[in-house]
Amino acid sequence: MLHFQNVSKAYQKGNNKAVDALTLEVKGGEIFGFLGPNGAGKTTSIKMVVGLLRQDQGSITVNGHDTLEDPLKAKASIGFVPDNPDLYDKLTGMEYINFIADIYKVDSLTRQRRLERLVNIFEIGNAMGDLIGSFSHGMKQKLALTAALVHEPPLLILDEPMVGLDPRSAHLFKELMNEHCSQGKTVFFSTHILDVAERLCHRVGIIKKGQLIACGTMAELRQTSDPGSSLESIFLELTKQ
Amino acid sequence: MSDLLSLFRLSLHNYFGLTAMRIKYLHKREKLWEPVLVLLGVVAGGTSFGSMFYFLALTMARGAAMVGQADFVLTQFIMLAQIMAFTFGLFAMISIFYFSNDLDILVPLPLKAWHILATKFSLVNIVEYAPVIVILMPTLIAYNQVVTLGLGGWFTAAATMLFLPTIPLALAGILAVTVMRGVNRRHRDILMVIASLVLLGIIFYLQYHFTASMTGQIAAEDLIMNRIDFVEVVGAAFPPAIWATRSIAQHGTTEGLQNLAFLVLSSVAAVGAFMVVGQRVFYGGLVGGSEKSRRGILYTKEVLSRHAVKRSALSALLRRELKLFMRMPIWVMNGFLGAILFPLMAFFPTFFGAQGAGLSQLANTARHHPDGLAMATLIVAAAIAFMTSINTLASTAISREGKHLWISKTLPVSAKEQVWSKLIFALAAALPSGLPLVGVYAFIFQPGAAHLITALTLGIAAGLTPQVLGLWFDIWRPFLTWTNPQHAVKNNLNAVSPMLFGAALGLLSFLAYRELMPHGTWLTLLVLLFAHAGLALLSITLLLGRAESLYSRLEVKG
Repeated sequence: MLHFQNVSKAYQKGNNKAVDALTLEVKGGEIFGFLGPNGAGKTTSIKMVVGLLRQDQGSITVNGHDTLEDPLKAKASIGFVPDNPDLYDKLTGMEYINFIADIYKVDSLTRQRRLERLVNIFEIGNAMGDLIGSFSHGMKQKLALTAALVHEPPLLILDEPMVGLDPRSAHLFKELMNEHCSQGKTVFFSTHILDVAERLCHRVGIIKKGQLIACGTMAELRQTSDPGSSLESIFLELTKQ
Repeated sequence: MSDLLSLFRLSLHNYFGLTAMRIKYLHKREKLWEPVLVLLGVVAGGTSFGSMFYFLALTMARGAAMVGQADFVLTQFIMLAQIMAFTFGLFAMISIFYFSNDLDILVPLPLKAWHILATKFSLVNIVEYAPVIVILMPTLIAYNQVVTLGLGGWFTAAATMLFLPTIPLALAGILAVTVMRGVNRRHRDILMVIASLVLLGIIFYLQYHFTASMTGQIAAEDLIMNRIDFVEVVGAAFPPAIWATRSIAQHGTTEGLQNLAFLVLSSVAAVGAFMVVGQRVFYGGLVGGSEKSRRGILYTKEVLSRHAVKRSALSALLRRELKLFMRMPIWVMNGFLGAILFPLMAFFPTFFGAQGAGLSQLANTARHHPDGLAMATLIVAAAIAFMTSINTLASTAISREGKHLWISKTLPVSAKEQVWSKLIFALAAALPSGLPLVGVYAFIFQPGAAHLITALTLGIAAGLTPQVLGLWFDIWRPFLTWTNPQHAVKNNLNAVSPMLFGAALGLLSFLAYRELMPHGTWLTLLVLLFAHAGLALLSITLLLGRAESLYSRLEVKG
């Protein structure tokens, strides 16, 4: 579903390598956790997948479509929530969702059915008529998640999706992620909440200084450390200087 | 005081992007052509407007000097500069005080309210020097040709100009913080639109007042006998304009110094009044801004069935452009109302003033000259092209997306379609600025339909290419790091790029006109029309063809 092949990206005329020869395969029906310390290259990797940045080298395919050669088909397969959900302050929640649904060509009946469910799950029915500028961070996050899910994409890409969500919404969202995967779709998300990653993800990848230093199921990762160790201790061990 | 200075220094660097520019151009020495290009744009834009004000001021100064009232030209243009400072200052004040994204950082800091007020006021004051200089420098040069200023006069003029925007801005600031105090965020947008219309009315009234005071209400005998002081009559609406005029005109005398002192002291008093009012109501207005306004609609299944309705991607993109634009009054003012306002302001006196009689005579002469109306058509077309090409909507279309550009970049819609939607929207808003000019032309000259259609189509065709190239320029190097909506347009040097392109095209058209005119005026008109239409079509085709590669190199790093 998502494939990085030897992908590199550098800033400042090549002096600062943010992602270094990343090769990674995420399969359909999988929840994949992408972990790493601050500045490790998680967000840069995600931005390359969704078309916000261009890789200097290598290729990325989404649902079989190369992100540089066939960007529109790749983007049509993605639902994306960035780390900071900066949405249009001057649109109402409903206007924004309608805009996204129009762009992804979701027909009226389907969007009504999906929205009814998502609005109930995230409890944003009261706020949909308000300007997004008046939303709290958590409300914006819920709206961004609703927008990412309204077209039921094969690949959901989330950068720190739990930040700002209240415990109930976070719980419901985790259930949504599981449900998404049970339909054969994929979730690729970055997080610093290692407990969530440990309990939710089928596999995790750990990135450090732009390089993938570990990747696998929890059982596979434990083989590199003590048998009973938690993801947190594995992470700390692998990412220490 | 050190807190205030630190805050001012920081805000200055942030607002004008000085730190970012220093790092980019001096330390990293990246894209050094950018400041050169920007400088060229500023020079071209400044020269276009400057020469317009210069010739207008020179004509008026020579006319006024004949009745011994050359100072009147100073009053007229000082008042114009102050009206501009007030009009744009009001929106700038609201924008910088209530829509800036740095307030969340500044307000929790242990700073006094007046520190924030004084800093933000100073920033707007600095920005407003630009129109003051563009209007008054050419006026002073023209005035100097009639009444020699001398070194002392120029020094006094510089000192006067320093204080010119201050009083209008203080008044605008008082109005802004007072009105914003009790209005919640949703109503603010409506309020801004109403404020725009009220301002429009005020400006028309003042325009009428000047024209009437210059003509109908003053007897010719009084003029000739020098019994009426034009400066007094026109400046009566706003005395600081009289003080500013006299401080320049009577420089080196006690009266001149007294008037400069009046201007300086009244400016200080106005800022003081703004500080007092601001401290009382500013934070209250901020709280009002963060209050949530509930429509009270619960989006149930039934409500969703009415609102969640499918539209095409292009329609969705256009609706987004329209809503985001209309709900940001500062953009409406700069990009649309200004475009309609400016030609109306310029031609309002033709309906009501003595210039109207002069123009009627000119129209009569034009109708009886074989090439008269064709020449008038050409002039009107040039004016329409000028008005269309100075519109900032296309040249800030990507910049205005700011931190939201990630949304457009991740949409599964081709860059061509996205650019097309921006172009359609920008042109739809820019082109109506030609209508008032055609209206005036039809009213005064009463030409036939062929002349009117030619003036409109030639003007629009000639104005299109600068707009298209402005959008191209903005996709190429958008200004995305603005801190408030005003900043996105007024502090965005991309906005002057269409003026630069327009000036170059204007020069080429003038050269073509000189070559073609001996072969007939209608031939000239038609060749220019087809040339500009072809150029516009070519530029649109090239832009859309290059859209994908231009868009793909736009990276969202932050």
